[in-house]
Amino acid sequence: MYCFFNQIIFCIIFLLVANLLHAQSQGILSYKLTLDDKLTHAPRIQKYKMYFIKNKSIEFIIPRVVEDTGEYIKINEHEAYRTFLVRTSNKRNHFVLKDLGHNQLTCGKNIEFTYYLIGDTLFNFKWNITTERQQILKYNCIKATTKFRGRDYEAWFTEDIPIPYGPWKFGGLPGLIIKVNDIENVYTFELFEADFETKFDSNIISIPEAYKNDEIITHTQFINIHAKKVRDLEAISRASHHTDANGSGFTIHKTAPLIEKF
Amino acid sequence: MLLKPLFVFCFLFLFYNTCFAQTLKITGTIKDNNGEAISAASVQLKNAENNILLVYDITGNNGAYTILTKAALVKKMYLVVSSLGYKRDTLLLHDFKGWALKKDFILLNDTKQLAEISIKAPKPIIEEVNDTTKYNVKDFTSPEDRNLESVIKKMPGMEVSTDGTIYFKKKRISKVLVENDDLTGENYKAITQNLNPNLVDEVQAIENWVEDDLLKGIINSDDIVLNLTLKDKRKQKIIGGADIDYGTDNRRDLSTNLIGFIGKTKAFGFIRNNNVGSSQENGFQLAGQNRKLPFSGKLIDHKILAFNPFDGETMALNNSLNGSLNAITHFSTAFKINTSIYGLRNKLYGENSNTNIFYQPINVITATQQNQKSNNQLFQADVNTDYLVAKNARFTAKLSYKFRPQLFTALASSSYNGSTSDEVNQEQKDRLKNYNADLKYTLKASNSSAIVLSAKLSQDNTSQNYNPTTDIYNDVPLFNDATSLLQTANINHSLFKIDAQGLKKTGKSYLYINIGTEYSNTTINSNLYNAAKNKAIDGFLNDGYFKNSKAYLVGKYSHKSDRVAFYTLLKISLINQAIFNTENTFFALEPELGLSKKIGDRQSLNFNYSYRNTFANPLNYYNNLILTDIRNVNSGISTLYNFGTHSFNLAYSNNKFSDKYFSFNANTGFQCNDGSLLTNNFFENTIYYSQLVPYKSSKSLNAGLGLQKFFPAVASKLSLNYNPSLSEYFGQVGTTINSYTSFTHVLSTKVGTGFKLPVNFSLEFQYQNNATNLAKEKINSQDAYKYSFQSRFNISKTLYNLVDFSWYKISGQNYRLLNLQLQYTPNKGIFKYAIYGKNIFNVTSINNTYVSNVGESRSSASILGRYFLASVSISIR
Repeated sequence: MYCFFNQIIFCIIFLLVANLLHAQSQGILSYKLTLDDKLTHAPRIQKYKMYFIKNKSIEFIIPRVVEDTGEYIKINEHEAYRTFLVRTSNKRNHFVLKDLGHNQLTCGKNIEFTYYLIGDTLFNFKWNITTERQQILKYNCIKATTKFRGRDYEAWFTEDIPIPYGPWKFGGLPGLIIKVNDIENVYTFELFEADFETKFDSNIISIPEAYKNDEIITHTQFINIHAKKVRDLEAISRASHHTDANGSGFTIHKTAPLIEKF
Repeated sequence: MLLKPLFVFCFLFLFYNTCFAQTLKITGTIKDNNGEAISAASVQLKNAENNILLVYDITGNNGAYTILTKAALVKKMYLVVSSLGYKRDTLLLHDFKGWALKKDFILLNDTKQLAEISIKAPKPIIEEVNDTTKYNVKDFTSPEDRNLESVIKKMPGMEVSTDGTIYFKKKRISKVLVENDDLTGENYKAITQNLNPNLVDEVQAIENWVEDDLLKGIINSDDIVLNLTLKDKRKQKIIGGADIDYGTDNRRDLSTNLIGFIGKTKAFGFIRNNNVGSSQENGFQLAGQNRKLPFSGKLIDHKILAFNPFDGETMALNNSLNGSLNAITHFSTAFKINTSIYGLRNKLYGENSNTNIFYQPINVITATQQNQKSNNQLFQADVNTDYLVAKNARFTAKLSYKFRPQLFTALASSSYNGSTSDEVNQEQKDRLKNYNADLKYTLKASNSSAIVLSAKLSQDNTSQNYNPTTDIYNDVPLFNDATSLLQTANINHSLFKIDAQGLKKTGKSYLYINIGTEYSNTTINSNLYNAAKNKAIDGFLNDGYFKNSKAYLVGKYSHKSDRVAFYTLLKISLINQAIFNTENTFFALEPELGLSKKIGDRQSLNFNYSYRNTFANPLNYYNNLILTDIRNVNSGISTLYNFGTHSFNLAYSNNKFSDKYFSFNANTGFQCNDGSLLTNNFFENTIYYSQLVPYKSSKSLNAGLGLQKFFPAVASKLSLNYNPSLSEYFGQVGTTINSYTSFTHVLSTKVGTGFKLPVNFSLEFQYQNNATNLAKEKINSQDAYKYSFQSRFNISKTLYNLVDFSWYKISGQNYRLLNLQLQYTPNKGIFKYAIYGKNIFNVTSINNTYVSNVGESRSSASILGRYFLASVSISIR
């Protein structure tokens, strides 16, 4: 009898301990994008936070709010270099949602003040894993290269963190991407914080509420909308003749170039 | 010549490789030890000799993988399976002959891995982002900090007064938000004095805070709030802590505090019972802009006083039970309701002896010994609703009910000019009720203009019964042979106000126009009865009122550029005032202007001037006597009395938080009135008469200086605060009116080595001086000093000892207080343990002397003696 009870107690303790020890693969990864497109006299820095639980992840921009008027927020991308306004009344923002289980990638991206919900192919990369190795932060990293939509990239991933994630749309490697940049060094994403211990609400990893009623467009449709916007702005630029104390000329209207060329 | 063999070699090499290249297929599933499939795990096939990755796959939802490659035959290969949070598994494929393999893996948990691979970017100790200063709470918290307030005290730029009011850069904090939600309003002491600091990630001081989102960018606000961000970011959670302290003489301090995020509701609650001196006498009240607690609203005010000018609030003989429950529910993005309930029961005990020496020509000495008890209670309920009626319109309603029953009893013996003491039994029963409703409708007309309509209705009712019984009154003709007296007072105050405000922003300029009307009525009904016969005594009936009606128009223009800001305001009022025998209607013009300039990056200079029409406190309007103490009768004023007050304020601020951890703030203010009130004092038949009389202009000057420097390496703070003030007042004795000047200096400085070194020390010095001059002659100077020494010795990483020694020198007498603490904080787990020894030298009373224009008062009050406590703290996650 005593032995029987002992066994039951052992089983209960074992179940409790097993539950406590059950590993939950989740974490928050923070990446820094250094954008050196020569449009400003110094590179601009933008930070992103990526939440993942098992095979789903979502990445958000971390805005640097300078002034919040309710209607607009003024965001300072990099200290004194460039300030721009973002309309916040619709509460939309940049995000990248990856779903490994369903092999889906969904993202929210803007052209000027309009945000679009875009469906894209998940891990659309053909990685070439090289033998080059390097220590970045405290991790042993392996170099992998790929071509993606008009740019050549090199990524450094680590087997020390066996999750197939990376910043922006990157991923699909047998370890976390610690750093990735295009070979012209215009876009450089670098990990600066990795927290696998903080707990957060899993509901965060879904299409944000503000986009819930939007129709998903394809990546090609988005590229076409952007191209049309560029053409429209060029037309406006040609028509915007101004005269002031410094003389007269045309005002150039431009929208920011995209990381994906096609 | 050389090319040919090279070409042949390459050809042979390729041919050799092709001959041996065949399709290799390895399949299987990855599961954990509970049999659950592990998704997003990586499976790599590697060359065992050089560890080069040949091919890999990532598992899907079902944990399945497929390695498919036309791999060159390598003698030794590794199949490596890894997933975050699990131990890596490796299979050696040695002299692998087959071309298809099925292999399933079960991975074991690896709990240590997550902590090892995490990288925490060093979080700045203090970060300044525009109007927000963020303090990383962890860098200011030592294990002995039991509430957030003690951590806020260490933050440069912050100050916490003894009543719990928080100041940032010497400006008062109006609210404390939890994750951007206002749970407690002005009662934020409930949070700051009870919340466990280990739950908080950041304390953010937000300047120029605008409560209503609709008005952001349209108004230029001066409000400062604190926002607390929590460490645990989960939405569904209940976190908090509990402290259980119990010790000798049934001394105890039991408390629990919880924060819950459940569905759409965010809630904070705490409950605390202690009899270790934390007196809670001021309940949830906080000081106003002038650093003084609001007026009690009572005509008769008996309470147990602490005569220790430094730590009086923490040494009382008490039994206090208090708690609050505050919740906010966001029913939708447009509608939220905030409900709060506060409760307090504060029992205080005190033995007090008081000698009043009245100077010439009064020349009287009275002495009183009292055994006092009080039981003050508070029940308060608040409901605030916030409804976004349309995209550009918001309606808010704030309703509040407060009920405060208060009881004071004392058994006293009182003597007059050395006569035999007479016994006096006193009882005072008060019931204070307050109803308050604030309604507001905000309409955002455009991106730069808005209209705000508001209404306020409040009703205060105070009923007081003071019942002294003594043979002293046998010899006082004033009381008609009664030995038991009952002084009643019923005060009603009602206020109704409506206001319409138009707001417009143009470029960097802000325009505000208010038009409104305000009506208030205060009535005082009081009388004195012979309690035995239930018969009124002549000369004590008061049946007065004070009505104040006002219609006003206010225009304010402010301009804010990057470097300079200024505002100008003019209030035009038509005022009608009435008391029992007079009525008066007049115009009042009240101008105000302010100028502020930023110097460099972090320095600023502010100046402002205002002129206000000040009217006498409505509770001063009564013309017959009111018995307020054993031997005291008071009378008020009986004619309408208004005077103007000019205020000039200058402030300099230099704060370099994020890099230098430095804060320096200085201010000075000068006020002059063209009127004031004086008291006319005299004794007659052992009874002391005080009569309020309107009098001429008076002046006051005050200054404040605060210097704080934080040393992050050892978490040490150097602070220096100096607040001198000077005020002029008048007193009448007999027919002579004298002009008095009172000087007060309050100096405090603290320096220490923080809490990160193995052995730490801190030194503190506080000094208070109050001096009174009659014309140019100094008639009094009272000093109080506090010297403190604290040592913190880390015996090990988990065990430390704290010694806290204070030496007070108050009115020439010395007191030595020693507190000891031994704390054990295990590296892991939810428990902390401590042993406290308090007031080891067993000091049981503190004496103080107070000098006024008519005499001096020497008092002795009992304090909590020696006791020991054992303590367990539990954190609830």
